[in-house]
Amino acid sequence: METTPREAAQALLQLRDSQRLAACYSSNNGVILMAWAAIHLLDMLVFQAGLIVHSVFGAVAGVIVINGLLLLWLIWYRRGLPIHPLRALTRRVIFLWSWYYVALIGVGVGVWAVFIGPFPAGWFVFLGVFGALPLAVCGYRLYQQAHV
Amino acid sequence: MPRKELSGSETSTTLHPNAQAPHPRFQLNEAIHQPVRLSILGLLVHSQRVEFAFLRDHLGLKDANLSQHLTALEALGYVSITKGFVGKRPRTWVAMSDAGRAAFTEYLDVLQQIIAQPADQRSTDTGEKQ
Repeated sequence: METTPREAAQALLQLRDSQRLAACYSSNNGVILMAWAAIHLLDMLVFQAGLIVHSVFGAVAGVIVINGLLLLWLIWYRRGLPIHPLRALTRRVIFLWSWYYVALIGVGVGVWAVFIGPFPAGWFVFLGVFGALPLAVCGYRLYQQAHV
Repeated sequence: MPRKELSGSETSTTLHPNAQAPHPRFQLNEAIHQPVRLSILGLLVHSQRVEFAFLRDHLGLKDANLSQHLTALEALGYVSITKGFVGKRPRTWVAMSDAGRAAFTEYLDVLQQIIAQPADQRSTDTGEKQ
């Protein structure tokens, strides 16, 4: 390999491509965050359905099953990835999101139930969309960075 | 004629004929500065560890060829190779060591220096090659 400035620049471009590839085949590819967002939305849809049919325990059981399946999928998916990233961006995003989630559910369910009363129609779907949005956006951005 | 392999800290000290300081390209780590090893280390530098089979398939190499490069990098202390199992499947993982990261960072700095070198030095450099 020659070392003219142009070729040095090409080497740096090659390394940038390697960085993209490393993200693409690791847990930083955004797929996990998008799956997490979809599951969160699904959880809330199940809660909404439970509210409609007056079956809170059924909704809770459904959420447990859905999240259990997500956990199994996560283990399977992570084990299949050939690259373990140096910095797990996914974990950091989920950690920050969990605070947002606690605040959202605390205000949207706890505070609402105590101070306002009955939930309006589609309230849990609304919470699901708002809860899933940050994860979906972060996941999609990571996915784009890794694949484009 | 194949290039001489230099060890991690060892670099060529040949002076550029028209310059007081050696040209940055003489500081390039020859152990890293070749396409396959650059690709290997480029992937490893962003990773905790990478699967051997992925490197082999991605780089389009044979097992023996990749092993040869990895053994050379391991001998320099730039990478470490560990074997393990995922379920019942045997896997070989390649990871970059701290020394490897330091050498790679230094290598990147030299590349940046080459790109940033003044235009007059570039023309001298080009003339020298012709």
